[in-house]
Amino acid sequence: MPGTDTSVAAVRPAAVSTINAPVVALAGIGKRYGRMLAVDDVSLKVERGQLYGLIGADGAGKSSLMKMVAGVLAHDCGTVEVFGVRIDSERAAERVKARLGFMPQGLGLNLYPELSVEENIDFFARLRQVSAAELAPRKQQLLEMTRLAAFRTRAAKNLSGGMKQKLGLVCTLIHAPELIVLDEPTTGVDPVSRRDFWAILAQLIDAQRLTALVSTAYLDEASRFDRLALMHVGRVLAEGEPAELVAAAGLRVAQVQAEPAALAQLAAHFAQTEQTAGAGRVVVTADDDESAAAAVRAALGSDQHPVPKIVITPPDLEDLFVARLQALDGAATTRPAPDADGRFKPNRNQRPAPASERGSAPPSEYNGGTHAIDAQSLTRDFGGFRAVDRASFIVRYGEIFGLLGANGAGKTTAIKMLTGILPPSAGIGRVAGADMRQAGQAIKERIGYMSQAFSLYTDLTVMENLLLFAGVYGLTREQARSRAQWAVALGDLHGHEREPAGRLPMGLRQRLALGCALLHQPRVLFLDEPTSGVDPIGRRRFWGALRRLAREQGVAILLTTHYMAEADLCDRIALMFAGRVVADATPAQLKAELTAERGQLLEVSAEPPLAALAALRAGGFAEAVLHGRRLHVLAHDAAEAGTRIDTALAAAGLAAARITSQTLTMEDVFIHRVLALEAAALARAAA
Amino acid sequence: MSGLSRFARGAGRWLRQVAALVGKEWRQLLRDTALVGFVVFIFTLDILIAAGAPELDLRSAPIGLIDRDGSVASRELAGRLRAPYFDVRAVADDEAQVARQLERGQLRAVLTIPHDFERAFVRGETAQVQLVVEAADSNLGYLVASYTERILATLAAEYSLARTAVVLPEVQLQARYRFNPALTEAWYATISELLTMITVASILLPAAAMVREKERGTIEQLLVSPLSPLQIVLAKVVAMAGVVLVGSTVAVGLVMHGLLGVPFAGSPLLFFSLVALYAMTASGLGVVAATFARSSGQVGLIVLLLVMPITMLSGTWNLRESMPGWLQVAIDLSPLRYFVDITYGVLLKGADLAAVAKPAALMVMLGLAFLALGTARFRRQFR
Amino acid sequence: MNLARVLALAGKEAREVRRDRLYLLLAFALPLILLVVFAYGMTTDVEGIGLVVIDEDGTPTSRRYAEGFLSTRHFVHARADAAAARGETALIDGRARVVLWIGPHFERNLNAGRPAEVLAQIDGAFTTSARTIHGYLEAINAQTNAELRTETMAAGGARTPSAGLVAPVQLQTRFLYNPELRSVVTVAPSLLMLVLLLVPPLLIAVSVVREKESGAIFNIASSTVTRLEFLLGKLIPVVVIGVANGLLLWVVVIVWFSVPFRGSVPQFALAIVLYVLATSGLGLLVSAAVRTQQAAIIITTITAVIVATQFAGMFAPLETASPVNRALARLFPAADFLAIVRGMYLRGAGIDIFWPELLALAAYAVLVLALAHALFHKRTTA
Repeated sequence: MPGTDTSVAAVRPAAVSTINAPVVALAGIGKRYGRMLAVDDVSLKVERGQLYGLIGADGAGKSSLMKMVAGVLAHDCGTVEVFGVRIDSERAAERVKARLGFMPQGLGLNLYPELSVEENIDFFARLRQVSAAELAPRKQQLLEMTRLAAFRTRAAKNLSGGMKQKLGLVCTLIHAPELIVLDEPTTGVDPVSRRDFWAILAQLIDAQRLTALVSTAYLDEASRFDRLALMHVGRVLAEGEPAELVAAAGLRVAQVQAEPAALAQLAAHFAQTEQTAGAGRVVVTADDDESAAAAVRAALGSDQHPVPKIVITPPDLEDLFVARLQALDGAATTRPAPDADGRFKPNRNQRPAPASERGSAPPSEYNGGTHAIDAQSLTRDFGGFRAVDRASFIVRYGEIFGLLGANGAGKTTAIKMLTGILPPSAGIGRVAGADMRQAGQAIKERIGYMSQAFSLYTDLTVMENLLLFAGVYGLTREQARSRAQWAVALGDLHGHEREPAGRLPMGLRQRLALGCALLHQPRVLFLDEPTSGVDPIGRRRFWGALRRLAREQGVAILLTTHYMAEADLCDRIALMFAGRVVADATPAQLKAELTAERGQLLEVSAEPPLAALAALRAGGFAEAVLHGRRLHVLAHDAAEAGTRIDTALAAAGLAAARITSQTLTMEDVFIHRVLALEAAALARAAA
Repeated sequence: MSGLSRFARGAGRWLRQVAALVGKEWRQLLRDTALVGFVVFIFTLDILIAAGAPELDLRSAPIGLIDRDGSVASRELAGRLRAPYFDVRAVADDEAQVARQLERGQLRAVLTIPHDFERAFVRGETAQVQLVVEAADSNLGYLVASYTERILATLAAEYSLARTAVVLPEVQLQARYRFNPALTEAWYATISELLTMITVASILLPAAAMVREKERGTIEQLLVSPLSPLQIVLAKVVAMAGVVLVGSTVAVGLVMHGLLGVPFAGSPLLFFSLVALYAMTASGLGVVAATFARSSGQVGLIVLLLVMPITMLSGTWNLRESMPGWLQVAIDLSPLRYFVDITYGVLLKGADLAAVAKPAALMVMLGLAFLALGTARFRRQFR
Repeated sequence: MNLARVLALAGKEAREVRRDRLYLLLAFALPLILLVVFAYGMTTDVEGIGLVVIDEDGTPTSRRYAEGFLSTRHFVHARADAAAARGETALIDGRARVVLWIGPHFERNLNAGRPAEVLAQIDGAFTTSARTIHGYLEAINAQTNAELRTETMAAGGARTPSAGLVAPVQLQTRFLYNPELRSVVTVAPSLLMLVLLLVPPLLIAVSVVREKESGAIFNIASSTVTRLEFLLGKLIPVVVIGVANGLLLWVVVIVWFSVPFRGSVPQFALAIVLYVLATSGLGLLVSAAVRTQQAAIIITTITAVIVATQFAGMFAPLETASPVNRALARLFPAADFLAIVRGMYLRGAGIDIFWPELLALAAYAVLVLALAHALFHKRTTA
């Protein structure tokens, strides 16, 4: 067998001689699985030291592309060059593997569950032949950075999702690779951990001239990339720096305040519209603010009283993403299709409005006054570990109830107790008035459940899965067929009906799983991270469907999510921390509470963001956090804080920043709450 | 009336749910090409291979002959040890060399005819012959000894008859083999193989499928559904019975009866109904096993622990009645123990329902017990 | 090849096995339990065989004749409705394996010096048992005849009968290596072949396919670990467990079942190592061909059962198998190892005699591992 070490040594000088050559260069590559074209004529270059992002809808071909770069998947045509080495055979792929690290998709799937944190790291280090002298400081640094140092001896299987991903990153980085390929590393990870993750990555890229190729389903994260490629059905639609892309898109966002009737007209003119009570948000194709405003006015009509108020702002990446895909799909995606009940779905591109602002409050009681879900001091112990600690909350019919919390806060365990999968150690969980552990068929037919881990049959096709669950819920053949068609329409799974579920990309799987959970028209719905890994378009449609279920059919929905934009859409939120429910209120109340406690939100745009963050923290803003490329700070007195920010930045030798006042989002609330709770817990532990 | 129709609707629904799961099991099996190939193999080619299985009998067993007498009588004796059972060859009268050949396995036995063999005859004394048998394989050792003994007994009877005027009494034992008069090995071997394969497949497939549902989390989706544990367990069991029924129809009808000429003496309806019941019983055991395992590796080992003794000790490969008592009691819990009697009974002996009623009843009782245990343990495994 | 990496891989496997208590327990308890159960159960001793006597003579002589069978440990009296088709039903429903029919005039014929005929109907469905049962029937019958002759002569003649007349030829049989012809002597060591064919392939196939299913295999695929290193990393712990099992069984066979070991310890240990390598290699081959753990378990288990029953020569000598089956048997290492077990363990033969079989095992192991290596890829097409 050829010694791998010698071949690596042989490659190094070549790489040095082409030091300015791109780390990754793809030219015209294609990949087919059977008759499915996964990657189609993709060309792109990743330069040294870049954080390069791949974004795109599910099934866009991101994973295939990354596996090809990592040398674990053969391409059909075109050329793949990594470190100047042409990867055209298994042998050639071996030549670059010493210099790269690859983290496949899936929450901790590449870790060894029985091994502890430290054993996992040591195993990867030994595989990569990291010397003991190098390993010790590097491991220490990475463990501290990821705040995993306290969990060295915990088995990987007992880590939370966010910790698993951070450990995965540590393992991928332990041999100090020059290139890391990370496939959706933050999917299923809570906002706080996600923030940690990006901060660590940014630091490493900064400090070690690391090159990273990363994919993500969170578009707010995409603004962190130095460069990104937007992929769709195997092709690259757009490529460039995020700011450039946004600037070149020729899009504007118009915030409109007008009569509801006038706002309703906007939907007919603009593909991307959102409506809230008395306000609307539309994405307009226009090269400047003036023409954008003019277009909106024209759409509203000239006879508006009072004159509508229009504010034009630049679009974000998500707007761009959706607009590009709409342009591709043409009219097909905007045409509403009837659902099984003969109703028309709302425009798929409508962002649903937060309920609190919708005017139509959820029907508070349903079904003779029983609560849909009633958790009373639910408690669950695993050995000596208390996963859920006296959790109590109530969900009413017609209400969308969000259970938020960091990975490992006990959300999934709570749901499993409520659905009857796990028996509680103490307390009672009632669903539709019954304890699910003892509930009969009739009660069970009223609930729908979508588990966090994809739990459909991967070897069955989409249609087979749907018909199976229709059968499981006792639907007749005809009912089953029509409901399955309904679910296909709901999840936009047309064309995938005969594909095995296992071959679907993550987002499509989630939509299929939701379809399966809804087939029997349940009265109470449990959704555990239903939108993890789903692209923005899919999420919007998903929420449209949820809202209709809750509002029109009075379904009670309990869900968990790590997309804080979705938390904003919930009627009510329970925040869990370390197994306890620490807050239970509407999103507006939660925001108001935070504002009252800590002041308003200031967004600071300063370059470079990492240095600015350090400067702010040093300058007295200990709770400053990175939000995309911008910094978020809470302060009671905006003017006073502005001065202090400028001083702090100047002290660090940085240019003055642009500071704007913003409305609080649920993400800000979540991060501040969780960080404060973590700090308190640490202080208690120290005391 | 309305109560009755409501009951019928409920039952229809109950069955529809089970049917949906059964269909799922079949589809999943069909999707796994490696597995389908294997299932096809065990019901077709494997049965054909079993037809050529070795049989426990002597065939040209190499016997060394040391004829120290070299007389007419000694040659007559050696001549009686004939093909196809024996292959007699003269070996050097050297103890060390003979011992070595026995050790190598080149000789199964050594027959020594002493110097005074013929003389003893003439004098009316008992002539002694020594047989040293290599008995590392006790079965073959026994066969060599008993065949030689029989041949010598015949010879002795002939001598006695020729030598004495007195008519000595003799009981002539005539043995006939019933149900397989020529002791055609293929009949026995193919049936045994079929029984073994049905058993292994029926226990293993549902057990592995069940653990896979646990590993992948798909079981959660079923747990929250209105399905009762009985329905989930029953679906696995019925699905497996279907597979076994199709497989054994091909194996028995086409391969064994059609190609190999194995008799089918009893009623096909009776036989295949019992095959279905057996498959359900055995797969019920598989489901019970799966409730004790958390991973595929564990279930593999647990199933081996069950499958091996069941297939080997239930009467296909051994004489059940010759086992120690404690083991006989244990093997009474093996469903195959009853199905062995049923299969040989119906296929070869033409047994009717009355003849197999007892084993069939015991087998069904075991099946019900497994089903009850599997259902009871089903929920308890999630804690 | 890099030894440190191989050790890292093997060490990780070992840790994972150690953490899974049930798995570890089973991996060692299973071989022991199988050994004990089989050694007692797979007996070929003939005992307690159901025998129906249909005595149409009903005289003291006929009863005594029948008693000759029933007084041995080999046969027990099976109650049957004598009228019902002459015991046929007892054979059909399996209560009896033999129906012994003693015709009328049995006593009269014997007293008159005429041969008395007795018919034994043996259940031929189980061919092997049928042959053995037939042998015992003949032996007991011959003994009864000898007794009858002696008595007749004693009663009829004045002088003591010449021994040569009653028994002109006498066979003195001595059984080498197993003087008492205990079947456990044959069965117990042979179980080494069976158990080591069952357990290592299952363990290794599941361990490889589990990583394929979870995606942890990408850690290997995207690293500089070579294919050989990966396979060795998987192989070493399984071979260690397999060999440890083999040694444990070996000791139990000697101590518990008192089957004397006559060969050379290092030579037999070598045979065990080679055999475990070969069977583990088979497991690796299976793991290269399948995608799910379910398929891995089923295929390794059923293959092992087929090989053990058909292609090893455990129940019956391979010489009597069809040519096709003998050729197929060459595809698996079981027959060679069984020959070594019987030769080395029981007969005390050495490497000077069994070097061809040992060489075959080694070649087999190398071949299978090379094939598994060729089939395993770090860069796949799907």
